[in-house]
Amino acid sequence: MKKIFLTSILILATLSQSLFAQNPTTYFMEGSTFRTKWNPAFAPQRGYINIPVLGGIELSTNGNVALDNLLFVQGGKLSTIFSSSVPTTLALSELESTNRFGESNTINLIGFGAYSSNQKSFWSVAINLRTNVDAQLPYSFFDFMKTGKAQDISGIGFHADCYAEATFTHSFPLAKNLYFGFSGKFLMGLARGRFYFDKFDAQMNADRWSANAVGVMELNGFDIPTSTSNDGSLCYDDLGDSSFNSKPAGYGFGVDVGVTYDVLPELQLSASVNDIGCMFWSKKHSSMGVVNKTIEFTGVEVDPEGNATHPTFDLDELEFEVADEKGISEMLTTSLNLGAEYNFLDRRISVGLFYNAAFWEYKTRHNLTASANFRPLSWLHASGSYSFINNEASAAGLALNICPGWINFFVGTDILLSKKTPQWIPVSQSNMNITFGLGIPLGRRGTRHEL
Amino acid sequence: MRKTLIIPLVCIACTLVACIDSDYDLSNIETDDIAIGDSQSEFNMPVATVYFTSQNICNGAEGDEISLKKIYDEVDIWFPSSMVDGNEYIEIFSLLDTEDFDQQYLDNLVQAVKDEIANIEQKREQIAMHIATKYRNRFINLIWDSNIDNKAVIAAALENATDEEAAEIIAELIVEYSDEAEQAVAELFTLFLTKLSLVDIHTTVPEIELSADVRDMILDNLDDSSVENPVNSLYIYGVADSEFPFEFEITPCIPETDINFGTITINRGTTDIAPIRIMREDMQALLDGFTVKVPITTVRYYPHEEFTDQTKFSVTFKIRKTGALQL
Repeated sequence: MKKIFLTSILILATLSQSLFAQNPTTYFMEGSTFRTKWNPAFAPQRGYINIPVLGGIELSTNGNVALDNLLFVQGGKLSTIFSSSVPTTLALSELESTNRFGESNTINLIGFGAYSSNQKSFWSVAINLRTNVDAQLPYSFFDFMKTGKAQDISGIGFHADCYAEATFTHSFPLAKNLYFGFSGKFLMGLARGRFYFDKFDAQMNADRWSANAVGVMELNGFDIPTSTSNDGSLCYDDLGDSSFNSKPAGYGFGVDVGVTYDVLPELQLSASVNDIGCMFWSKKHSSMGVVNKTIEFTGVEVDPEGNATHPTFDLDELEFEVADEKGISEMLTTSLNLGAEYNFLDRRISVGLFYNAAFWEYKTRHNLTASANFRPLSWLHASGSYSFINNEASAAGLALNICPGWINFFVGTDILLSKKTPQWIPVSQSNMNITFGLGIPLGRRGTRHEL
Repeated sequence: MRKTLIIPLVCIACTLVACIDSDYDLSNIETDDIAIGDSQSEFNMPVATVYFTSQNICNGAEGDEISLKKIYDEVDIWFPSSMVDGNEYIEIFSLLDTEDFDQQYLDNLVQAVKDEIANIEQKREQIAMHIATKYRNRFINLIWDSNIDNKAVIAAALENATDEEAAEIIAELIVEYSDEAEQAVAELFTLFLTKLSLVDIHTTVPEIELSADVRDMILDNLDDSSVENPVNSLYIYGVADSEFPFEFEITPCIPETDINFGTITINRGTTDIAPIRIMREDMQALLDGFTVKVPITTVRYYPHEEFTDQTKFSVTFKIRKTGALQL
């Protein structure tokens, strides 16, 4: 039980350290090389070669809990929600019935692209490292931790994966104002973990202390030591003693498809579906575990003859028993993107509306973004956006793209005006995006849109 | 171009820096005080239940194991159906050779016995049979010491009679020589009073096998004994359940620790044992296994209540932890 609590705290504490998804403010940035990730039919203004790693760093979180729902300043110290110094009413006041948080990041290791000779078709190649985390903790879990009262706790879930992807993207005109694009992705799985508890009840009262855990564990890409428990079953030892297996834990594929259509010279509609595909985590490097156990303690009983019972109460008995290895196939986190952009003043100003739906492990997230885009100069683009996130939150974003002939610099964030930690994590905002990219432009500009 | 860029970049940088809240420095998160509950919480936990029967609690004054049930069955024969002052119980201390001995109380009780013997045939026959089976020789000696007529004949008849015949003789003597016979009965009656006391009991509770995690949760953050209004503290308390037909006092203690509950009066049914504060060392000693010593003093007896050798008395010990459970 203690391991579960500490794991959940670790998740919370690293909530913002590696985050990601994609920054919706980048959707309408023409000079940015990040646009093709939203819709493979898009193309930047010029070819490029990214600076390794710095060429594309995308970090974000999403969910319905913010940092200040989980960390509290008490007596000059920054304490977790589970700290005894944080009053119960304060701790539980801002939580939801199901508290969800997701994070993912993409780091571009290698990236380059160029226009074809017709200056309309564009291709690009990238190798990225991607990490996704999705988790949920029910209110009853926090209630138990703060009050100690028996709860019916169910639906504790955690899912994470990390994989490398090699992508080839190609965008080309189907008709005069219609562009089609696709990305083919080869995926190499590095590590994956999934924990889910159907039940995680605990009861502590004067007559009985008990704990009941029913759940599953799936780990890929790790070597976990095992040992035989007191009842003779083979169980996994402390997960902290596991070692990362450097061999690929699985392979997969993914496809992005997208279109853009200029309804009018000033009005462009776009649509794409990304990450259609699957990852196959191999049986060979998998570790499967199940737990279905109840422990209880009702006290020692000594009969009139002096014979005593010897009950035990050991939380470590709630451990995962080794189950048969099996391969796991998982769909990628598919997303749907729809956009509309209207240009003014010879494309120097535009307004856009962008809808994104991401189909995560535990919930589908919806994001609607309104954007105002400014292109006063051919090499200077700025965007301001306002996003409505899943009917739960909102965020204001700002992006800047500077792309003169010798460098392509991009930075975008939606935490500009919000209160942040020294580590640049928003304190009161449950969703955040930060995007940074640095590359070297190559070749002539494309002729899809002339400024 | 540079001037055009510098101004907005400086503004952006200033905005970003101005929104930094150093109170939320993630490199300084306090994780040592993670716990279940908070300073207002209270957790209770069962520790042990010890059971005793009337077989365990007996008068060993004569060095013999005597069934308490048999003692009180006999007392039920002697005691009147209606107690002194209309109560349902008998004050034991008033009858025993202690500083609380009450001669008037004893006299009233004996008079009540005499009255029932004289007026209630069933009672008279019950006592007569009891004397015939258990105290025939003593009764014969009392006959010799008395002033009744034909002592020798009566004595001889009693010596040779069967129990039933002797009982019949004794019952007739009680009617015919009421004063002397009743006095003899009263003397025999007082013999039993010394057997109404209970012996002290003790039992051993083995090690309580809680894992190190659970032990730490209970013990880790306890306030020192010097703290006047402790937030994180431990208490031991309990519940006694008695099926015995008597009220008695116990003074339980745990010799391995400084725990002494003081004198507690146990009634029929459930009696709460008030919590007392214990320290970390006391709790550790409890978890390692402990002895419970329970000196017993009988206070009141409720005659004519049904109970057997297996009638139980139990004491359940529990722990109360105030404040959070440290993880």
